[in-house]
Amino acid sequence: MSKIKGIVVLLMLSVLSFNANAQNTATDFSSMNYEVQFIRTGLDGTILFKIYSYGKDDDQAIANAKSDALKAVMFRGIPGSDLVGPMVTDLAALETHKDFFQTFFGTQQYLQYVSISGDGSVDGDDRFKVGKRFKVGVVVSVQKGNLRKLLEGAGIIRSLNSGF
Amino acid sequence: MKKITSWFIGALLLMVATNTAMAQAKKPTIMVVPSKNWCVENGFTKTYSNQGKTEVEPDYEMALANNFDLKLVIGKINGMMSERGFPLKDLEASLASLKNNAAEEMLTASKSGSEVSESAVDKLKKVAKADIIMELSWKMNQRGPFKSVSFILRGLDAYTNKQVADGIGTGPENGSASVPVLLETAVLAHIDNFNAKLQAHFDDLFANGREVGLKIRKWDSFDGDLEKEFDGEELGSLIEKWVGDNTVKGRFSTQDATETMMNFEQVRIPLFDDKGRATDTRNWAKGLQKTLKDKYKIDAKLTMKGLGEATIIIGEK
Repeated sequence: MSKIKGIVVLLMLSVLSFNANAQNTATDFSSMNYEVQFIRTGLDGTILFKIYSYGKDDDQAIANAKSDALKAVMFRGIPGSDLVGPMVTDLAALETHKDFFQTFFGTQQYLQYVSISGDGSVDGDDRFKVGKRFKVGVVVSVQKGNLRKLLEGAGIIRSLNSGF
Repeated sequence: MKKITSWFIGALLLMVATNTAMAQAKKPTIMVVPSKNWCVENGFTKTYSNQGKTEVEPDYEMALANNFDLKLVIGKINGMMSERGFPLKDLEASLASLKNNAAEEMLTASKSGSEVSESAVDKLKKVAKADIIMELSWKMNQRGPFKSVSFILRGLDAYTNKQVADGIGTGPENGSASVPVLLETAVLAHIDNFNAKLQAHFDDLFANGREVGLKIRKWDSFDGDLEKEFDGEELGSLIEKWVGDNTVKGRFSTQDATETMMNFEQVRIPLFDDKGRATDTRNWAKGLQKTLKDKYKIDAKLTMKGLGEATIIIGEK
């Protein structure tokens, strides 16, 4: 009897852990666990801004900054810039195009559209310890022109001339 | 064999029907034009006579011939809009067409003998037939060695003259950048916001139809007025009913109505006619002209002002 109980508990724990690992795409990609500060618009279809991201250490926070930068451009917008509103205005697209976003962020395809500006080092004033995590601020450059073309090609956002 | 043939014909008919149903709306044409304010500030103006009164208008040709920065900005905007799938109508080419038409216009006279008088923008709109005018102005600011650009880009619906999009702001000060670089930065800093608002305007067009205006007038020779009854109903009411039946979601507002005139505003016309073909204000208003003739045996003249205002004058053509 105790063996059966043990197996049931193990099974329940496995189910819970599967659920914990299964990512809710909408929550994961639209989470706003970062802060942005617009710097300027580049001459070559890029946008430059500072992003503060979180991680268990500096390196992880800097790595998260790149994907967070693209999420900011796509799902939130950059206040004070020429991209005040998000590129993806219909958040239902996160579910309808779940495969696209999982591939885009999962296979690191996103790295083609974002880069850390400068030598990648973090200023002392841009590094904070928040509870058990680190918050780091880095300047990133996002290729918004190419990103827009990618999203239009994938049918996630409408192009200006769609319907005509 | 007969079954296969029937299926084949059925499939072919379905393809044809689908292609007809998927008819696309007329793509709006856009043209960049320097604002009157910019032309006046930079000395590119000329005067014209409007029924005895002297008016000042922009001299676009002189502006394009003498101001390199203007050509640079227009070229930059053209390039960016082309990338978004919207190549713009060229201002210079439209001005050339305007010149060719000018000789014909000189011979045009109204019934009273007075000349046709239109402003430069009205003439340009008529020739270029641009649905959206991107009105452009900028001003250089200087504080010691530091320069900045105050930039205004307004999208005006040529049908209603309403502002449908904008990109306005002052860029950061810069001590070393040249004027062309500052201008290029200003365009890049505002074009995405402008296009986001333009997209919202297009979405509104598809959902609610194109906004136009309609005026009803009558010739003195017409026997009766808008209160004359046909089939037990006043002509004015019949016209109002037609407008309601032929607008998207019946959306229009009767701004004014008397026995001799009616003014309709905020009239939302469909982008397609009942045959699925892309349509415009003139084609839409022709429907009313035809209904007046076919149903009530009333002749009417249709005139247009710009692209978005139709006037139907009842009584004769």
